[in-house]
Amino acid sequence: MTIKKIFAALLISAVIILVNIPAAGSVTCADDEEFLNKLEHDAFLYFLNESDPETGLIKDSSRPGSPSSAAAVGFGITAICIGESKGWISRIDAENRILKVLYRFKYGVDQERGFFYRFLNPENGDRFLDSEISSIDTAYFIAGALFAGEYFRGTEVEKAARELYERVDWPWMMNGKDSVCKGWKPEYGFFAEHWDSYSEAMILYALAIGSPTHPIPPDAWFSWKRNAGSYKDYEVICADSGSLYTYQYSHAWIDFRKLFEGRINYYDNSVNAVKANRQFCIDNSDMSKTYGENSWGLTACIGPDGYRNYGAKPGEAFNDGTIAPSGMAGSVVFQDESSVKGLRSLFEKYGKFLYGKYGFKDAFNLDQNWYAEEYLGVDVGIAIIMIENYRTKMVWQKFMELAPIRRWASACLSRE
Amino acid sequence: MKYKRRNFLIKRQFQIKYTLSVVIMILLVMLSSGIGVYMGIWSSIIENFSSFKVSQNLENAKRLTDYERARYRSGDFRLERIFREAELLSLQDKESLKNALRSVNRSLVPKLALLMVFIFIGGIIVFHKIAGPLYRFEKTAEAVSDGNLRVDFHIRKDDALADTASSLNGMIRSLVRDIENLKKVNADLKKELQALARTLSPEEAEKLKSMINNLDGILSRYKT
Repeated sequence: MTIKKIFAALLISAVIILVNIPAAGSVTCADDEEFLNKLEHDAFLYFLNESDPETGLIKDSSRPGSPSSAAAVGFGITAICIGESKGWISRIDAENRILKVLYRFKYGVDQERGFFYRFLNPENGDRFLDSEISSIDTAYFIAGALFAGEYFRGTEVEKAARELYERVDWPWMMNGKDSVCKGWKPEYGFFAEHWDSYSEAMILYALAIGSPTHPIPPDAWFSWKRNAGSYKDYEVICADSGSLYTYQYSHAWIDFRKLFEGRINYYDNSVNAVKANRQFCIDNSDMSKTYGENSWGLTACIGPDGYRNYGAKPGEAFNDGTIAPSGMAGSVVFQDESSVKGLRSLFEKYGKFLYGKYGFKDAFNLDQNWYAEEYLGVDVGIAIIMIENYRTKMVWQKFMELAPIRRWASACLSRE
Repeated sequence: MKYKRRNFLIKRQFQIKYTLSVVIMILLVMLSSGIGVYMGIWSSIIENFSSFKVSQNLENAKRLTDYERARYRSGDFRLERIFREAELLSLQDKESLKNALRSVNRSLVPKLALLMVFIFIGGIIVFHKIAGPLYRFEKTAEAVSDGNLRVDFHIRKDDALADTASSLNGMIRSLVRDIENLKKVNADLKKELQALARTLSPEEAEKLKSMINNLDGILSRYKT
């Protein structure tokens, strides 16, 4: 009897030990949750360190001499709130950092009717080179500001964010058309191109329609084309480029899961787009050593020849064997298992070259034995926000409580 | 024959000491100015026109063109545009250089003013050690020429011309001794003249008396 008990105890112990032994080649992160926490923490450090100490403006890239970008600031403000919620930064420090950058945008950054230039001199907020007044980058900034306002509700942050939002003259950016124009330059005026087809600009329309001071008509939401395409079994309202970020950026703040436009649910649409993107990489793994079931995510990123709008089908599907880890990280809310598995695989296989102080570097291309040296603010930003949404849904929950977003949703979409 | 000075180190210690003081002061001025100029101006120039900065500018210009190409279908994405953007950045750099120079100038003005004050104070301290004794030398000479031999050419411990002062005081003391001797001899002459008055004619006695009185008058000018 005693021998049987001892044998049983030894057997149970052996099973427990075997279960807990890390697989060969596994990393220090013992489980997915810890791994994702590490990714979030390291990404958060980008926004803590890559900002100008005087102005608070966040750099577009970690590359020396990089300008700041309004979009990177929008993602960064959100990331700082996430950092505060995790205890990686004190509440007062987070609030002060965000307030500093909001005040800078309110009083000390070149702007036109509340819209901001895409790239700014991080030291003084001046327009960088001849960059354009950008409607979409302004939208990402405003989204980040409003989220921070909601996160720090009842504080100066909320007030400053609201004032910045209310200053934006959204109808002006339509330039008399049905849809929102992409940009404006003082030298040429409005660009010919509008956000008139499915793209990363859904959040721009949401903010513009929900504006309490300068709203655009809800009809504008329906002005852009819903081009349908498919790859294998996956049907998608698709962006021209087929680039993953177009299916991710608006979803960083807006929780589309229970919002419907007729039969279309844009969350499900992104799920299909992510699946198609992954399948496209698997199907083309004989064309590029980079692509595979755990190495996918064709999205706009730095490549060996510069910044390119990489994408998959459905869409133009321009690709050259370059993958951005942010493509998978930003897809974690849509395809958690394959995203996390892919990210862990990249970390284990190429971490030595690809993983640094702010998490995954921007991109890599095995065919050319090329690994990016830098991090891009928006790519690091989409990673931390989407991982947080996957883990806690905190950004979605706070953002969806905003009155302008509720106004837009009521005007244009129906709830499940 | 015209006198030609061959030995320029007449007072070796004195001359070397003050030459070194001046040299050290100028050296300090040069060093501080040099460091200020190097740190303020040349570091900005080096930074703004280094190959690293130029490559940064080109990379930024290329990146902006790439970004626009990725977002917009139409536009100017040619190589010329990259160079145009890089030129814009170069203009920005020139502007930043101008600003750097302006700020250096602004910071140099008060520093120079402060330096001038220091040099002025230093000059006063250094040269008063010469000027003070020279002033006293002048006053002593005036007193002596007025017959006041009670003066003493006193200078401070660290002042220059200490040897000169000592020689001058020796000269005055020697004069005092001689004048007192002369006074004593003249007094003896007066007594001798009274004793010899009966043996001399009245004219001779009167002449000698007058000479003695004149000498007495001259000697009485000197306060000893």
